[in-house]
Amino acid sequence: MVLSLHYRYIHFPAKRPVITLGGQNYRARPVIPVTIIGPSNSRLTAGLVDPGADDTIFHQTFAQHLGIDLSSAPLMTGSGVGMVPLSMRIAEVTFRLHDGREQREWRALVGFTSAKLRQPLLRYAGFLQYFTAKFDTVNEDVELDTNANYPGT
Amino acid sequence: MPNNGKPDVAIDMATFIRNRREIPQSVLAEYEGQWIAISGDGTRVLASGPDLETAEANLAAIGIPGNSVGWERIPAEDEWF
Repeated sequence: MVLSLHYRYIHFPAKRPVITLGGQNYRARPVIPVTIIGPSNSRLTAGLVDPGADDTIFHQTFAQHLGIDLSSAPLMTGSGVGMVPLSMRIAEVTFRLHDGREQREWRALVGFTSAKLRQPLLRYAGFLQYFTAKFDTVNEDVELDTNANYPGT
Repeated sequence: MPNNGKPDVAIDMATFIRNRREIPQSVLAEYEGQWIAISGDGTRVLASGPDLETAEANLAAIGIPGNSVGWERIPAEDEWF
């Protein structure tokens, strides 16, 4: 039987009470641990699961440490939050998710950018396209179930 | 694993996740806006830097491989996503 992966939201303290959340003093975000594996190395990092956005993106420093040569990688350009122009190089990586009980691993095309990122962004292409995701904001839990698109193990 | 030439350092994710959640906010607050390397057992911050490149260099300087830790950026308290 294949079980879902579960991750608890992480609380990030707010400098001031968050008015839009009734004055609570933190923001809860679905930031989860993910291992990204390249040709020569791997990195465990924490990425924001972002279901409303298009492409999975990492800072290009990750590519250097994974042994990915971006010099001839396909280039995508566009604009993101605030219509700020963004360009990224596309490369294939292996993702590994492990919630302490269950593990999933698959290959995906992701973007690497030199633009400033707050953290890795785990979005539709390469990531959420392979899962049915449930964001339980009451229990602050994100549940990921592999779907029919999932290409991995 | 496709880690040609470099060992894929095994991190016990159950332990890492459990212990990472126990790192006090007061400790993490010291690293607002920075990248940090969290020990493979999730218990402590080993290195930091204003960007990932610097944090990686600082970790390497103390002889710890970058694939044996967890990398996180601690957002500033007034950052919106």
